Amino acid sequence: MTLEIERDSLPFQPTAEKPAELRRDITVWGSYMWGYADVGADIYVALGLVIGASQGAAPLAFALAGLVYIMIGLAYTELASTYPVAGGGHYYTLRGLGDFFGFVSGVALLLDYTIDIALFAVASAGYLNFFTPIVFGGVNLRDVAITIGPFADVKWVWMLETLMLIAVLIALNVRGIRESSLVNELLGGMDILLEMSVVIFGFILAWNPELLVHQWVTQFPSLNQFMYGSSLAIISFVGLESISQAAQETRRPATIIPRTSIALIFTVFIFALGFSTVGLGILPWQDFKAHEGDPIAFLAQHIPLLGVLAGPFAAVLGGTILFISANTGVMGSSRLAFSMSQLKLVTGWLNHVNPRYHTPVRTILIFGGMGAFEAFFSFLTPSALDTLGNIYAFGATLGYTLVFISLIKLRFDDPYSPRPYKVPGNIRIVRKGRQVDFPVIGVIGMLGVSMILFEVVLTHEIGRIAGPAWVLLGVLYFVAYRKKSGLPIFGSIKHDWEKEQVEVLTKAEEYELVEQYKSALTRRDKENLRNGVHSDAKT
Amino acid sequence: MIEFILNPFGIVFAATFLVLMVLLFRWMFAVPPPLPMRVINVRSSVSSLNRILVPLVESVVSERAVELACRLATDRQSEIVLASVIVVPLSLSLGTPLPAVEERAIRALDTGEFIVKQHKLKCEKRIVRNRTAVEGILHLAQEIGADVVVMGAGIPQRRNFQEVSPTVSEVLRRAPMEVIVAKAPIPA
Repeated sequence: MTLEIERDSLPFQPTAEKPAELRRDITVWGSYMWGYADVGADIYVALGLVIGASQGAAPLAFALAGLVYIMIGLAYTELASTYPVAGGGHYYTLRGLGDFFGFVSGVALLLDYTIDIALFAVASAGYLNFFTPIVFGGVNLRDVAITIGPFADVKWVWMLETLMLIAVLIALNVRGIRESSLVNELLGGMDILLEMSVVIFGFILAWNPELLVHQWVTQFPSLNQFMYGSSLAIISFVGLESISQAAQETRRPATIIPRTSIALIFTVFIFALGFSTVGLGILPWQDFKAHEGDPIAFLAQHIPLLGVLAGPFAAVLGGTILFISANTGVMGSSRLAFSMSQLKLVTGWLNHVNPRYHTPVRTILIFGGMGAFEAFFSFLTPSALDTLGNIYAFGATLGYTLVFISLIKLRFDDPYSPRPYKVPGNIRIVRKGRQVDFPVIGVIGMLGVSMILFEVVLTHEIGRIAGPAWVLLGVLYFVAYRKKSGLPIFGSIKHDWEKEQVEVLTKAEEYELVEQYKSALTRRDKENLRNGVHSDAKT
Repeated sequence: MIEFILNPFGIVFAATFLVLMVLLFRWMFAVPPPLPMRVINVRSSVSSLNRILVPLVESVVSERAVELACRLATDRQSEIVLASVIVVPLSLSLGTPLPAVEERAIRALDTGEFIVKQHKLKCEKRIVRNRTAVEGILHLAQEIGADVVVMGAGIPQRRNFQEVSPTVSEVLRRAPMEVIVAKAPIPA
């Protein structure tokens, strides 16, 4: 267990007036690991699902989704280093597109956080079941199933294990826990070493290119199946929100975040390509489909010399890291709800801090409970992992699409905020007498992720219903809440973004950027004065 | 039984994978050190020079000032305003044509513009009429919102080499913005 009790470190403080500042003590490795604990765990789940769906073309599915993911990652890197606040995607969308779309983005990401809890808890239990055949004489508890009314083949043991894990997470978070940074970083380091070893030794000792080519040629999926697989592959890269969450607690985020997030993006991309290529060169895709609960451990087990140890080690490490990843869902949903309530997108009732435990018990129970319900519901479908992956892909692609649109819009609306990192591939244009770097890759990324969203809607039978239903319910809540609070529904509340930006950068100790920002604003004011424009334009 | 396969392509892929990961982590950890606050202030004060005014007369000294201004402007693509002040005596009205003086001013501005274009920078040319050169320069500097005035200073004809011309001296004293004087070197 890598969790320790430390109430004082939580962002939620019992003072009603103003929440305490989040600490800024995360190092380069810590910042990288913060993201890796979330994104790095995805491959443990996605490998089996994506290979099962895209068959012989799995490396291509990972590559295509990965290219879109790189562009998403670069967009997040720019936005997180420009606006180092914890809100993440919904904050960028709110800045770029206003309150309503900020809420839509937030609610899509909340969906992902609750699915995150369910999906990773299911997967964590799946990896821990790797050992049950040894204990129960060849019977894998994961496969024990019953029929409940119209629901056939309900894997009830796996479901109970999952619900227990979620209950433990809820209890720990209600009590007030903090992931031990040291243990977290150590585990992450071990995981990177393990994954690297599996890929490297897999290539050297067991990789058969003929098997890979044979599967590519003879077992290439149909277009529909490939679209399903490639859209599912996006889940191996979900978790970029954690980068922006880390941004608020990192010293000099504008300097460090671009490095750690770009390194994270490429690490995960290289791993996804490496695992799918080495996997299909060692084993047939059908074997991965049969082991979608523990694909990495299954692959590690099949590496000569190392397999005897690497298989069980990967299962333990996978189970642990997926459990931690499920915990990021609990913590992330609480943080996101907190940020949304500060921006008056959801009720302040969610901010309540329990006087006994000093934790946001309401959000933990609500979103943890939703995660548990989603896990339960998923076990009533033919494949729990597949169902959750479906909905996960919908939430992520919707949120990312809005983030891309915001990236482009903010380049026009807020050209004054210093951007320590800019998505490459820009065309300099002049608009209203101002130079703007138009992000071409941003547009390509937006089209790419919209295409994946389209694929999700087209091919994911459950995702296309459950995802939009969630968003619709959220919008209904938003309309009711804003109406009751006397706030605009489609309009936005006025913010002094300039003042807030200076405060954010000053707190981040990015003094050079503060100077650059102030200088840019002064220049703008001078220009306005010269042109006779009297504007109180807040960027 | 797990089959043991040693394939040269596998070894190449493994090596490529390892090299990529090592390079990625090396780059990630190479974070530049933070700058001290004083250095930041100095850097930002220089880098905020967005509009540079260069008063010109037809001389090598002025042309050196233009070159210096261009080098200052290159980093931030600052705008350079080249100006020539036509000093009209009090005995004449301000609008009186002075063809010979105007011709010299245009020549000086054209030469200045040529230098600026070599640096691929934006440049604006202005001819100003005033009773004194100092007033002309200061008035224009305020009108265009110049962040800095870059002036060339020749070698004084008098014995005291420490002095600059009265115009430069007066601009230095009265200008509300930064003034940089490019004084020609004293011959050995």
